[in-house]
Amino acid sequence: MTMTDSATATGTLPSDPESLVSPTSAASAASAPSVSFESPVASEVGGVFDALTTTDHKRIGRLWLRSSLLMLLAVAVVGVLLRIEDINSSPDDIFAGTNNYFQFFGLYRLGMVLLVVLPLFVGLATVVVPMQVGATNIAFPRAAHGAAWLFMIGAGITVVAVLAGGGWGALDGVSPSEADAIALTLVGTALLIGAIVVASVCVATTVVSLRTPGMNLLRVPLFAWSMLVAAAVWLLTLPLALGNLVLIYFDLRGGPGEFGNIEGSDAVFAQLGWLIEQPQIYALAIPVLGVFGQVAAVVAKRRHAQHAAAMALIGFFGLLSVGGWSQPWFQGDSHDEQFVFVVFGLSVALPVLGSVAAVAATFARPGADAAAALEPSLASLERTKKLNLAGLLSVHGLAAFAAVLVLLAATVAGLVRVVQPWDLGGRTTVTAVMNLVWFAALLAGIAGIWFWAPKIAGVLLPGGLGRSAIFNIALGAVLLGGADFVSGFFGAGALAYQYSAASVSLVSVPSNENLVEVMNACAAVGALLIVLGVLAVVAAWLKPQGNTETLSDNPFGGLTLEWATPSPPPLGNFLDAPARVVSEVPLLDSVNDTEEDS
Amino acid sequence: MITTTRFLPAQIYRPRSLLVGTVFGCAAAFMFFLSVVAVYVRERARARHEAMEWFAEGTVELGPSGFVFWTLVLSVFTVQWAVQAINAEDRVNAYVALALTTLFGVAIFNQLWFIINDTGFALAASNAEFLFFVINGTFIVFLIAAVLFITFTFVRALAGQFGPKRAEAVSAAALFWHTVVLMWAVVYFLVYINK
Amino acid sequence: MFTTGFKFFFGLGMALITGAVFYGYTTGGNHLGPLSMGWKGGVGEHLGYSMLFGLAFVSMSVAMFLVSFRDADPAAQAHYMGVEQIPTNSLVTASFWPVVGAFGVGAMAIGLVLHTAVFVAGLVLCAVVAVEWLMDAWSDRATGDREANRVLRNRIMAPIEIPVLGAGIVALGVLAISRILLAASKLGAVVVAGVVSVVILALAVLLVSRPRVNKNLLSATVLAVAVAVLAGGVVATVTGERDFEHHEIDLESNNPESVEAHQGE
Repeated sequence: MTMTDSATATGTLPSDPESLVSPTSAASAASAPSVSFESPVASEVGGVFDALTTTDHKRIGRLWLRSSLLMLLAVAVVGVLLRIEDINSSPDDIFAGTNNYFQFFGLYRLGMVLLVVLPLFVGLATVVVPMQVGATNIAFPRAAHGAAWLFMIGAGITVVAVLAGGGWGALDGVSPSEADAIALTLVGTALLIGAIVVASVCVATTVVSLRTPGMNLLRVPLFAWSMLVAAAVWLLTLPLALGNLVLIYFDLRGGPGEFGNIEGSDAVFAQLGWLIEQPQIYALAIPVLGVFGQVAAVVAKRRHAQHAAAMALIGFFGLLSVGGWSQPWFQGDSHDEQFVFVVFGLSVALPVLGSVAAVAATFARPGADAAAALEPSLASLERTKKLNLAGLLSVHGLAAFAAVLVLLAATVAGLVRVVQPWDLGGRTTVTAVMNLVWFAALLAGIAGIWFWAPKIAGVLLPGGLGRSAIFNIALGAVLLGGADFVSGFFGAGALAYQYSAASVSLVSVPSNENLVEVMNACAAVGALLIVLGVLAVVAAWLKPQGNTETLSDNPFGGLTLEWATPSPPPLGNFLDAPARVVSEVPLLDSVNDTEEDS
Repeated sequence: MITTTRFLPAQIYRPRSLLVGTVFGCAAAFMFFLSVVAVYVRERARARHEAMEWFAEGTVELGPSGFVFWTLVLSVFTVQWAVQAINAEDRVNAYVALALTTLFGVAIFNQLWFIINDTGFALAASNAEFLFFVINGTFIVFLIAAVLFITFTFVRALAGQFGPKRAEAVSAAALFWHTVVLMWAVVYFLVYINK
Repeated sequence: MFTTGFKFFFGLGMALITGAVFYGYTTGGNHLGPLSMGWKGGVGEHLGYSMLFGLAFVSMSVAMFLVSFRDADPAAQAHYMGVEQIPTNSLVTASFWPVVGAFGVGAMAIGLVLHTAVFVAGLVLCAVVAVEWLMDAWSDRATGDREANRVLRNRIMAPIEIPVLGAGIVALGVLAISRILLAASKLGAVVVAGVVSVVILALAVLLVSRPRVNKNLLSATVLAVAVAVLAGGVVATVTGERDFEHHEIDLESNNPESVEAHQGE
């Protein structure tokens, strides 16, 4: 008789939390078809050979995560240099000229989207989502692996091309070699987008078609659902940027010069500007709500009180972030006044607020099932509304809450930005929204990495470094976003440089120069804090704590299927096929049956 | 030595994975194509608004592009014929249908090459001619991808890997083919008919 | 009846159609234009309208597919296959080809900017990957026995792969070494040729003397060479072509560079 059977027989909850780690039951295992999890090639060789030939989603996900963290470090440093340069009006202090400044400006902005945030979530999803839906692997593992390498190749080409004088246009004229480098930047950017689209197809297909028996789409964990929504939005909208790039490239290589005008113009960068503006910028943050909803429920030691509502809110947020249509380069400033653009901007805070409310309802709900079932020591919390402070102060708890608060700030800033009387389009308010969304996403990424570290790499990550990272990044985001938000009201321009055929200067002239100078200094401090936070993340990644041998399979009391795998998960993830799922918290399914029986 | 009698039957795979993935892939491909077409209609509207000539009279002919369209319509039937035949375990019909579809693809490629040469357009001449090149060029790339997809499916069909309830690769190839046909329907209407 | 996936994508589509209509009317659309896709009246701003409508159309198409598959629920897939429960196993055999394909696409991208030859090389690489991928896809599903699948695949592909790979390595080596020989001075060329011959001989001796080659070492070498080729392409793009041969030197000229180049030979 298994532990679950005995619990059912006696009408009590199992006292051993580890018994809930594996939701497999003898009955279900007997009816489930046997599946082979072994990959003889990988197990025999290992090392570089395995890294180059792997079809295991965890290895592939780690490739994405490592690449994005490396890029994050580089891009964050560029961000500090740009912010220091912004403090005065000369572009010569660090970058030796406005054109160089412009290239790194482009690298920072598009890099945060294409080199950091998107691959971070793709990596997290590639590792976690298959386990969450009870699959042995990601859909199309070879394509997923190819996409990870294509991303790294695209990133290499893009960064090298920018360092060699390329970029997304040139403000001060171009030599033939610079024109080649710019063309190379464009193809590198296209490879990045192509890789992310392919990876999105793999993630979305996994959620849709590889779910374990009993898990309908309403029962998938919130992170997996948010990744389905995000992947859908990404694969519907990012190809539009690919279209932009194709037009720019072929125009540059012999067209009429309308789309690929790289000389003395920022037109090329402007054509991709919609990727970093609202509403499209919010598409980066869709998984934030998924991570938040899922981590918050685990922290609360309760099942999510409004799982279906939270799914609907994530879907609504996804809808409001579809923004490929609002391309300012084609429509000029007039897009700020368009009805649909304004409605999207005004509405986007609602799903974030709704998600917060749903989590508040979860905390307010008396905690019986999860608390008692997974951790008998928390029995005192049963049927009470006491907060689980230890959980709240964990790295993943803090990071998830910080992420959603920063995202809320971003959406409020975005709401203010579309209010017409203030006329904030083209001001630093746009930059504030952008920065807040990026760092909300980054905080959610940190929450995810710390939370799922046992499944990503079979380790626990150090709490001290994690809290330091969260503190620095959250404070840095507030300083960066807050400074830009305030500056926007005083006329500071979003592009930070102004140019004409006659002259090029670094900043536009605001109505209150002194205040904007102070705000720029605050932003520089914020950017520096973010670098410190990123360093803490990298340090934690390089030096995890604990012993893999003694690591629990479910150290945080998670209720979804990824916690039914060993830490680290083997090839094929599950030692036995998962039992039939009957709710959105599969690890409580047997407990609930027991409660109903009793 | 391995003999076929000792082989275990092939494992059951999720029959919808490839189809679902192809649906998402087709969605991304179509949006990519549509973004270029949207820029085309936007630029054409601007030219019309400024009373400028778009294409010179007599350069973009309806006839050849119509041949492409109707050939593609025929191929819609042949590719579905292949799906139907595979599901009915009628191999001969499936091979004929896949071969015909591939042949239609090659014929369309030939016809498009003729159309592009026949216009006498230059890439740098104007926005209209530039966008005409990009749209038709992008379509050719997708057409080649579709022909390759069908060809590879044909090879696997020849290897006897498909049959009733094991035809997802053929259905996926057909789905991508239909997407490409839809792309041309959009181009045919917006670029060739509604000049 | 209406599945969750359908509801999301259909809702997205409906919202975007509504957005398109509002967008059309608020950007200059008139009559029934935004409602009829421009059939009876203007649609307003064309790009945004087309994008919103296109997004809505694609989203609704995805919704239709999902509802026709019943969201690809495991139960629906099991029912379709006529089995009680369907496994989630999608492990496929390990393969080099995705990485090689990524490098092929990277080479095509660089070749698009740098040189047609690099583009063609990338294209050839992608074509090879496509064929190999096809064979892997076939062999993975040939039987239920992995070892048998591997043997089947190798029986068909090894007689093609080994000669083609050998010829490719020889061709690449000859091409690369010839460039070095052309770039070096006369004496240098002799030295390079000698060193390369010895290295090839030593490598061959090492290979045949070992019963089994370390796959990790082999993989690392292949990766390093692939990265070097791509990095070389990027550097060459950025720095431009180097004029390393001076066939016609004007001896009467006072140009010191020409004279030095001549003396160097």
